[in-house]
Amino acid sequence: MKLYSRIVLLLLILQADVTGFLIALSFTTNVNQNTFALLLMIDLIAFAMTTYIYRTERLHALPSRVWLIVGSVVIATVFFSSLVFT
Amino acid sequence: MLYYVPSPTEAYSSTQYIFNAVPYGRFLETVHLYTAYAMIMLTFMHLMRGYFVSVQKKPRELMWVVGMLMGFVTLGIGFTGYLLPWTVVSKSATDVGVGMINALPPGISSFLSFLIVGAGGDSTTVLRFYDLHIILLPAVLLVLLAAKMYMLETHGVSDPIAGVSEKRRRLIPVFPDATVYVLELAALFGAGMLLISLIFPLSLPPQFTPELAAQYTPQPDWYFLWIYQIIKISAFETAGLPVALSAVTVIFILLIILPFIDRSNKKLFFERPVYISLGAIFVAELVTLTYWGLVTPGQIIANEQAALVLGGVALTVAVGTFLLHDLLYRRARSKLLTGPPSAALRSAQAWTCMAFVLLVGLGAMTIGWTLNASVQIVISGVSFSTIVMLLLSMLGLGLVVLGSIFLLYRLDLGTGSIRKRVRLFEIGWESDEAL
Repeated sequence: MKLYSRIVLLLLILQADVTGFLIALSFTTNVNQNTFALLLMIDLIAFAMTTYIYRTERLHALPSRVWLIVGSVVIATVFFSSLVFT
Repeated sequence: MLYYVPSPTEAYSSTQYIFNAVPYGRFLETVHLYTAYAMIMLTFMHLMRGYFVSVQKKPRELMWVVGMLMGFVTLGIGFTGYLLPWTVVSKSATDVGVGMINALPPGISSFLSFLIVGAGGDSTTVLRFYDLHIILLPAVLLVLLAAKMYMLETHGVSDPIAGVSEKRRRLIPVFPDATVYVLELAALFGAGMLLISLIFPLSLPPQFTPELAAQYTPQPDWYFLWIYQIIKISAFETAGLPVALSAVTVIFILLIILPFIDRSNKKLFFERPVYISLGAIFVAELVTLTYWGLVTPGQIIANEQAALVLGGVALTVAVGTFLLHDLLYRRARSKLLTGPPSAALRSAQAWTCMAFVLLVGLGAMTIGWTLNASVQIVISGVSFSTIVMLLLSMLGLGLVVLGSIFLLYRLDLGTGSIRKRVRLFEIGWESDEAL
């Protein structure tokens, strides 16, 4: 399996997990809105990274590693922020 | 829409309920407001970007007109949505806007009043605004978007101003490539909006009451502040609201019919100095008027002050743009003639630039040290330390001069201009053909 396919697989798993967690959160009434917003941000950034890899692969180009690293760092930061704000 | 009640008596309380009782209510309201602001800002940026890169040129004139109409509808959605929470801020601002409509010529005024105010009274107004905000204007926007997308498919995307070689051009299908790209941007935009909403959560201003409104200076939302500031200029106050609104209307009409005024085929920056300057002045004046309106709520602006500020901004931007024009012209011409610079050349340019900055800085420092040492010798007399200081600074200055000469020579290797001049000097300044 190619490196970028593995990254996409990881991102898809992350999105599925976060979406499931967001659905679960939406049934609870006393949830912190910040947590919800931060998790939604993770979902959106992961989705943007997935589409970015898909788009560049379709154009027969290599995705920029810098952007992928920046995206991963942002996701990690937002994730830990959501733990702090909960 | 599930909880909001569009009536003057319940609009505020239902909004308050959404804020305080509905799960994620405050968060959704915050995201809604900031996204609306972003939409208006991006619409304006899209307009100005299109203007500067000449997207309005033939055969895309109608696309420009439709885009302008979409921009007005976007402003209309913002205007109608602002009233709905029925706060003292939103109601007062809307009253100012409705008052402006009444100052328009009778036919237009009565039509617009019929359309947005209805039979009169707050209950009709808020219901009309709600209907316009959630049904009519979004529907009009969708129809205009469909028309614009159809024209985009027909004419294709406007050529980029930098020029793309035929080899690099290729057809990119709307689905999936362009759609996926738009989705990617939308996801990043959404994430950005969520972040801003988290950092700056919205708080609901007090409910509108006539007593509270009497203590409050009405001010429109930021995207209408520039119009409000024009109206506050003393000359327009004297001449009356219709004259001021006519001036603003003329600006809008000029923007709409721009493709029919600027008929030339020239698209590049350096080929359109007048239009680029006018566009830059327009943006600068808009920003100035908006900020000025924000810091002078309710104040009448004296004619002289308005002439000085607006004239000064226009003059500064015009002079700046014309000075930049020469630079842009040279850069663009060199790019057009020789193609884009290679990576090695770009790297060499960056290093040369850094070396020049370093040399200029060192030069300034060594001149300062030399002067300082000389003054010390004159004032305090000769001493070992001042002599050493003077010698070292002069040595540094010499190195800077030598470095500059070397750098100039190194730069010359690319163009050969110094060698050519030396050769011309040797042969007695004859014509270039002698070389």
